[in-house]
Amino acid sequence: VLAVFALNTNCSDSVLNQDNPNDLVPTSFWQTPEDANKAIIGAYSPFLAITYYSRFEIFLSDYRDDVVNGFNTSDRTAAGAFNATADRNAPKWMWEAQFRGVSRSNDVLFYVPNIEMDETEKNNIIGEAHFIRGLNYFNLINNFLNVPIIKTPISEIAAPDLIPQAPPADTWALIEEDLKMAQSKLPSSWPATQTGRATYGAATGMLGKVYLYQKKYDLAKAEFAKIMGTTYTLTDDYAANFTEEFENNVESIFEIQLISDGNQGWGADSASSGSGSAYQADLAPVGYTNQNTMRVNQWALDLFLDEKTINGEIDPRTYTTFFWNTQDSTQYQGKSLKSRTYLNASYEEAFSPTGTNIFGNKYADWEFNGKKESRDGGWHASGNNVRLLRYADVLLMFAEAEVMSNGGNSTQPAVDAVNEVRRRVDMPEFTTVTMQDIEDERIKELTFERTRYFDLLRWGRVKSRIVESDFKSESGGTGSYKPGREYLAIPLSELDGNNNDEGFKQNPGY
Amino acid sequence: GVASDESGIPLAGANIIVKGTTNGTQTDFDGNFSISAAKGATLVVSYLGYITKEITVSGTSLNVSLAEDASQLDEVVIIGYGSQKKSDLTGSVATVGAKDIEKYTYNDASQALQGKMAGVNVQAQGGAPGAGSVITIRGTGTFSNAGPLYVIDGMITGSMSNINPGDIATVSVLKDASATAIYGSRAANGVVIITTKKGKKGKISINLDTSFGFQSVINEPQWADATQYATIVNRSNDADGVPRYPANDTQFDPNYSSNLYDDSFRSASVSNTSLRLSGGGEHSVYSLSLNQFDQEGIIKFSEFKRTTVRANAGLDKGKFKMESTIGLTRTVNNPNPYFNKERNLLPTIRLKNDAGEWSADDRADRGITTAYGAFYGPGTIANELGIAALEERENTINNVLGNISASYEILEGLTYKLNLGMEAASRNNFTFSPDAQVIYNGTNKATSQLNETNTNSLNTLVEQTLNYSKTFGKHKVNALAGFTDQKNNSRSLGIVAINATNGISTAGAFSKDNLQSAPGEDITSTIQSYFGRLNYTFDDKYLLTASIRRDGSSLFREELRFGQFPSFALGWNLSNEKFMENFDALTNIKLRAGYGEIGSNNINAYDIVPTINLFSTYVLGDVNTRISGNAVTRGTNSNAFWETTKTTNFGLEFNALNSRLSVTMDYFIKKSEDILVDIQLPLYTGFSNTIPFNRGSIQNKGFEFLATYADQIGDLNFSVTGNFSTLDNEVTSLGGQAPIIGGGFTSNGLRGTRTEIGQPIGSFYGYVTDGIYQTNDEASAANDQEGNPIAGDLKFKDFDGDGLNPDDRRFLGSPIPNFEYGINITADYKNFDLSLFFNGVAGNKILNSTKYRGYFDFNGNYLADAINAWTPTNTNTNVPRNTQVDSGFNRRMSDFYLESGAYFRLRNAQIGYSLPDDVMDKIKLQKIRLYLSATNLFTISDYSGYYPEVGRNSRGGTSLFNAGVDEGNYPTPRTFQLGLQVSF
Repeated sequence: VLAVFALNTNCSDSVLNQDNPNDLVPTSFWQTPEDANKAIIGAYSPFLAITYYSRFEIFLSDYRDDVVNGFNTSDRTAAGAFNATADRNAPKWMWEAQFRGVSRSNDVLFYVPNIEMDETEKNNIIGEAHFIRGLNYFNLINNFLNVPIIKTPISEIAAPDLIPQAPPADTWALIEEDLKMAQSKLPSSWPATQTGRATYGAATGMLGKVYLYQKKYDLAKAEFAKIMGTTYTLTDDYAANFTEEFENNVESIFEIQLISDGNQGWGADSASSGSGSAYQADLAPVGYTNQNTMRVNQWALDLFLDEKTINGEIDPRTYTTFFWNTQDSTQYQGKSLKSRTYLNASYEEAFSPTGTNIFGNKYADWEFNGKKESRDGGWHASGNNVRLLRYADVLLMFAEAEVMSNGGNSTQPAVDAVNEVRRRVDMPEFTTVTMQDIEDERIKELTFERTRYFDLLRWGRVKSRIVESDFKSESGGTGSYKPGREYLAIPLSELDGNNNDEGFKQNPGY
Repeated sequence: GVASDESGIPLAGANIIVKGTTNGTQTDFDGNFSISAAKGATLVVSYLGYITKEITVSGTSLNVSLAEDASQLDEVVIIGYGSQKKSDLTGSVATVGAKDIEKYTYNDASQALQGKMAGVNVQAQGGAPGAGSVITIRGTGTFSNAGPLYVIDGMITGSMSNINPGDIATVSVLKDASATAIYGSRAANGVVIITTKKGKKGKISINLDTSFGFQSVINEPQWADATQYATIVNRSNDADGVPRYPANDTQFDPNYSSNLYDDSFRSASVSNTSLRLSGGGEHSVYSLSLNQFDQEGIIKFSEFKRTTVRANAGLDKGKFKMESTIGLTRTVNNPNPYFNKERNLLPTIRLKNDAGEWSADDRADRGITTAYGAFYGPGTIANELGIAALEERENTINNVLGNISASYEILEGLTYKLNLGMEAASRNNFTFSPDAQVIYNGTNKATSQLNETNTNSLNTLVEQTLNYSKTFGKHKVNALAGFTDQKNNSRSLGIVAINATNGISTAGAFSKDNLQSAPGEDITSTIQSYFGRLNYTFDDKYLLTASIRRDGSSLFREELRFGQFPSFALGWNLSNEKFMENFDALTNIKLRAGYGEIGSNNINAYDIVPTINLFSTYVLGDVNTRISGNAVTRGTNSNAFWETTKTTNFGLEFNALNSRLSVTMDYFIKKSEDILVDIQLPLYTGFSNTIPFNRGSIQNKGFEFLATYADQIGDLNFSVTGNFSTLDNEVTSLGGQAPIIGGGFTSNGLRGTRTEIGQPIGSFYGYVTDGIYQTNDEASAANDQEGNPIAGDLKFKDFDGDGLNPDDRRFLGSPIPNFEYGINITADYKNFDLSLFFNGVAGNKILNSTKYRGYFDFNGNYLADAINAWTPTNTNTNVPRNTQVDSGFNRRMSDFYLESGAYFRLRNAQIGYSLPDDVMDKIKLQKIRLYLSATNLFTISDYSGYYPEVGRNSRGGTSLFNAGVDEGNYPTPRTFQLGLQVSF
């Protein structure tokens, strides 16, 4: 016992000063180019949170649109049922992840300019930080509308609990400013080991989208035009955009990079947390997933089936997007497409010959690695990237900006852009296009790609299209709708933690 | 001369002094002494625990026989850094002695305190083998999980789980601040002082105590069988407009079914064997004890073993004294953490397939090819009993707790003492889940996984004290000054690895490709303290105690590091006053009053300094690669400091009926201030962790009563002790933080408790049910903001008539009992002895979340009672309609889940028979006693879950905001034991 004391005791006062031997502390960080690189990776990291693109974001985007009819009432379906009240988890979690991205970008923008390092490398990193902050604020304003603007590290703000919400116009201005900065500082491509980092094209495409969302059609057109033509092209096979095998392809502009490495944990900030996607289970047909999932509303399939290819067959995109009860097939890219799901099961095998439910199939990637069901491998089972922005979307957004800036009338550049998208899937070409044509094309091309709900939102059609319908019949209907609930509630944690009673308020309708 | 006890056994080490001189000696090992004294002088002969005798020197040889003074022994109370005569005590201290403890077999020493002391709440963490308890003294005064401070033979530690209950000599619980303040910063939640059994001078004595018994479950909720389950789900699917699942409908087959609960429970054995050798020589005492405790769980695949060795030794020679104690404890725990998840397997699936393997899928055996979920229905379906069986789990702890103290009387009455304590522990937590069979969602569990962590901890304590004790005429003074230095270090390293090669479960079988992470940490905290105490007694009538302690903690930054904790108390022995001389109805009347401030450093090491997370990863590259990024991911508060608790205590004690009845009463007001509240900053700060700020305050008030009546009628000796305490807990400030929401009882984010100003901590909060909607019109008229109910859904009260909305939620009761009581009866008649111990609680509520799972959650089986749900033809029921969509949001938190937590039980009962003395004389043994004991023989309770003692093991963890949330805690068993005690 005495010997132990000789080893473990220390009679001076300094024994009360105990430094943390387990962690790096901020005072010793922000010194080297390596630190700058580590910090920008840390700013991308929140995208991988299961509360964001890895999973929960889908409940706050596609699960709110008029295509998806989510089964059961829960945190997953609440936003779609206009019931995403302030105490719900899903909006809070995503808000949190988005602001993590914001605050880490702010740290980079604050500290990295003072680090001595190669100027190009420094500029690239600063550009990325602007891009990440801009993208997060773009998501924040589309979901929550009234959000606080924070542009410096929180430690530099005297009273973080008094920050007011910004008028939406100011937030839009910040997003534009960020994306312009990103555009001016980002490279057009990265070395192969760095694929996935934001590029000039990503900043430009996003900037165009941001202008389009604000109905600044001429500005939007100009941005899209900068990356049209040679920079990106469409893949030959439409389906290649939704498989792990063809990630970051010629059509891809910005993807959330995911990997399936067996890690199952939650959260994005731990060595063993999962960095694969967990949302497939929420799009998969009932029975192939451990989640309650959803079904697709009939009108969406009808829209796909309404028009035939130049060979008189069903639009090949239908098979990629949906799983439904049909014996039909389409010849496309040398393959015979059929309605099949996990285990290559036909609808009759999976359900019944008389089943009417329509399910999702896009992103399921069940042919990859012989995946039997979406639950294979548990959470984070797929490394399939989320395609956040791809060239087909840019072409359709460009067409929209063209038509809208021409008083809603067709223009040849708009027709060309839409036809480029249609040619790839053997659909007959248009000679003129209307906004309705563009909207229909967006649904066929982009369903389950996190854009439909926000299209309806920016067109002001959420209420007329979703509330006055039975598209949410499986999740308790839309009886909870009140004007203003097109946006989510500001999470309770923010209202409780913010003491600026005048400047920080709940959104209308909650 | 020779000094002996009344039966003639020599007393070694008795003190003999010539009265009025300093001339003295001690008896030797055989009780002999020699001293020079004049004829006619008076010798004073004293021995601890015996009545001191004065005898006049009449010849050259004297035989002195001392009578045992049992009452005096009981009246010495162990307090902080010393002991005090009960009559001199000014604080509120509760005690339990070996006699009460050693009677029964406990699976954790803390349970020996349950119900025995007023104001001390002991709640067992369910009935799992080796399960510990949460001890709350005079109510919760913090939002952290900090419990009392434990002092075992002078070593400060955090738990009493490592002690063999049979080794305990006394337990003192210091309740009020005037008693605890000497322990300063860590005493805010009370102090439990444990002393272990020491040897006695004299010949060697050997005691053997062995018992063996069986345990069984007391109460089982009834779960649906396959037929009932299929009916409930079909009914739900029909109501929800969802097609029926084949397994419940067209392909339902009662041959493919399981009854998990029947298969999970078993009758389990428990055994306990102790052997103790003790004795002492002229200048020494020793005690060596061995104990082996083995307990199987009443849930299969769980068991616990504890081995303890304790060696105590003491040495005294003149003014020098030395004591050492060392306890070695090894516990091996194989928990079954899957209990109550077992309903995850639908009863329409068998536990084992045709091949006799654990399974969660009968499709292959039945020749069915329909997709799994499309056949059985949705849900996280897993054969948790199979997982429990296949998984390897073992938690091993080797613990050494030791102490050496040496004291020397420098001057008369002035003693210096050096006390060195240490606790070293090594823990190994091991779990290996194989990639075995179809036990999970109809698929193999994807990957085998090894989780193993080794932790080594070493805590050391150095205490130096000076004690001055002197009597000047009517003035009695005892002064204490001390300095202590304590350092705690814990270091751990673990491995998380997947995809074991050839299914081998040791770390050596994994290569770096399998390695997921190697979590580890190294944590050191230190405390330095200075303290002093003065006890002053005048004429045995007026008592004064004052103490102060100054603590410095490494957990706080330099400027905020030190805290001062003062106390003072007064006592008045009224019965010693002249004017009470002729008042005989009550004797030993004492009034006490005290006030003190104590602290609590309830933050974790390094919590005040921000850190950089090294694993904020992203994925990059044409060949996807995880890249580690850095980020500050947690917010911190560098200004955190001590929590302070201020307690005022009033006490009254007296004896009556010729001392056959003794009564102690206390009233206290305990105000806890600067309580660390975990504040959630807005998430826009980028931090989602809660950060502790010193902003809260809590008040506990209570009344405590303890009475003992002991008497003798012929050959019947008996004693009855009863105690009760009341408690009123109220949060008085949250420092501007919104109410704290806790008590998660589902995986879907529903929470049951709310901690708000003016309410007890962790009060239940939700809607008030008001029957069931009988018509759709009635349901839609409710104008429910959170649900769209129809006929058959739960009806909730709309208090303000503006439609049903969250404003209609109310406080629904508290998990904290406001009344607790215990009754201890012991009796012996000739060679038979009997003891009965009853205890009970009242006024608390339990959130029975089995009701959530059993009526609403479709990720598994239903309660059989769900079949009695409302239907248009079965309207006279309180079970809402069967639905899986639940558009009426029946699941929301309401009093539907709440039940009374009151119970009254016969906690322990024992009957013993000792062989008569004449038989013992023949076989030359001191004692042979046989006993039969029963635990939880009966429990009177209206609670419909497993057992009303639910602990804090809910989904949200053991946070106090989850108290009273019963997520199917490991059920408390009923135990019968047969035992044998032999002494020689």
